Amino acid sequence: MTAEAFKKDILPLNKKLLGFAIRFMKNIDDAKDVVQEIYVKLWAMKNELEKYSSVEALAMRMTRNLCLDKIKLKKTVPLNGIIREEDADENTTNEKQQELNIAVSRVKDAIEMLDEPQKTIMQLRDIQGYDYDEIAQITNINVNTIRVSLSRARKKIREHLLNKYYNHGRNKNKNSIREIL
Amino acid sequence: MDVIKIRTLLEKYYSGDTSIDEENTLRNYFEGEDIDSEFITDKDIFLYNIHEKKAEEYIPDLTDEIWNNIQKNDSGETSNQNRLVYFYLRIAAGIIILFGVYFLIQNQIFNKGYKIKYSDTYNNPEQAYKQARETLLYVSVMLNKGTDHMEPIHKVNKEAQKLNKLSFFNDGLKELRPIKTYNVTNKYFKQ
Repeated sequence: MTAEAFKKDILPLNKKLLGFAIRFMKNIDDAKDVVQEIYVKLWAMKNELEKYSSVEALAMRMTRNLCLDKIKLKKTVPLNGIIREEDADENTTNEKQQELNIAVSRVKDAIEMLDEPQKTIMQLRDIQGYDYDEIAQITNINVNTIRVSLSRARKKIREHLLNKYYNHGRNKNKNSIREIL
Repeated sequence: MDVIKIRTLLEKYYSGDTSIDEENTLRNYFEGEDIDSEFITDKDIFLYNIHEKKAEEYIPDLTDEIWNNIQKNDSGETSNQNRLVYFYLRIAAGIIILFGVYFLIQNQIFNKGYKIKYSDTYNNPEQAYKQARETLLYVSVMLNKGTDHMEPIHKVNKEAQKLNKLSFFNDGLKELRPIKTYNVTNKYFKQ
């Protein structure tokens, strides 16, 4: 791959990679470091990149692996992501915004509790909008397993929210209504 | 939007069976104002999704930073190559010096040998023979003169032979040993 092609096809992926890395690193500077490292690696293997069916999937997979390695090395991960910091700035603008902030932080906490492949899969699907085949390439997990763990992850989040924040009895009723229908 | 439709879409969503389009439909619904209270928990989840998707747009673009970094790293690579070249050059220089020293030493020894073996001081062999004979004669005469001076050593030998008689003196001493008993009896007397 020529430098021009690299610039045209690979460099624009950096936003996606950074967005993905932030989910793991919880800190924009660490995430930037990860992305830089990934690009150095991609550049070093630029002559082999044409062999891969999807460089994007490869880059995402490399990003995920590097993030997981770094987290393992670090062990301690700061809890506040940058996105939540933004929320704090915009706080108390209006009722709807507050409602949104509450919802976001609740779901975020719930997602934090998920185990690793589930968390990544949910992130890739619901936030970054990848289809199952792409997620399969990124995570190296087969499509059916991805579907199952995505379903479990989504249900887990919902259950957690129900149990923690909403009235038990009422929601149980709703569930049963839903099941009847 | 139709509550029943949303309900079935949500069912599909939680089973992981929705397509991206269907998920977008759900997102659009939850972004709206009128949301059935039945979906209050699902609303949280979708609000989060919508919020995070929007947040993705605010992620900074690192294109320039990355490109600079890559180029910096690339030049680093060439300096690495240079380092490698220097390394090999050093080894080559070492080898050259070793060979140089080896040849120098060998050459010196060789030249010395050449001088000893083949250097001629005379062109005429007869003359050389004469000169050699004279020299050798001279040496032998001088040597004889030296040995003449050594003759008095014979005298020393003669006198030394006379000293052989000293062995008799030793015999005499042996005979004197019984005197020791005299010493012992003397001790008894003192007591």
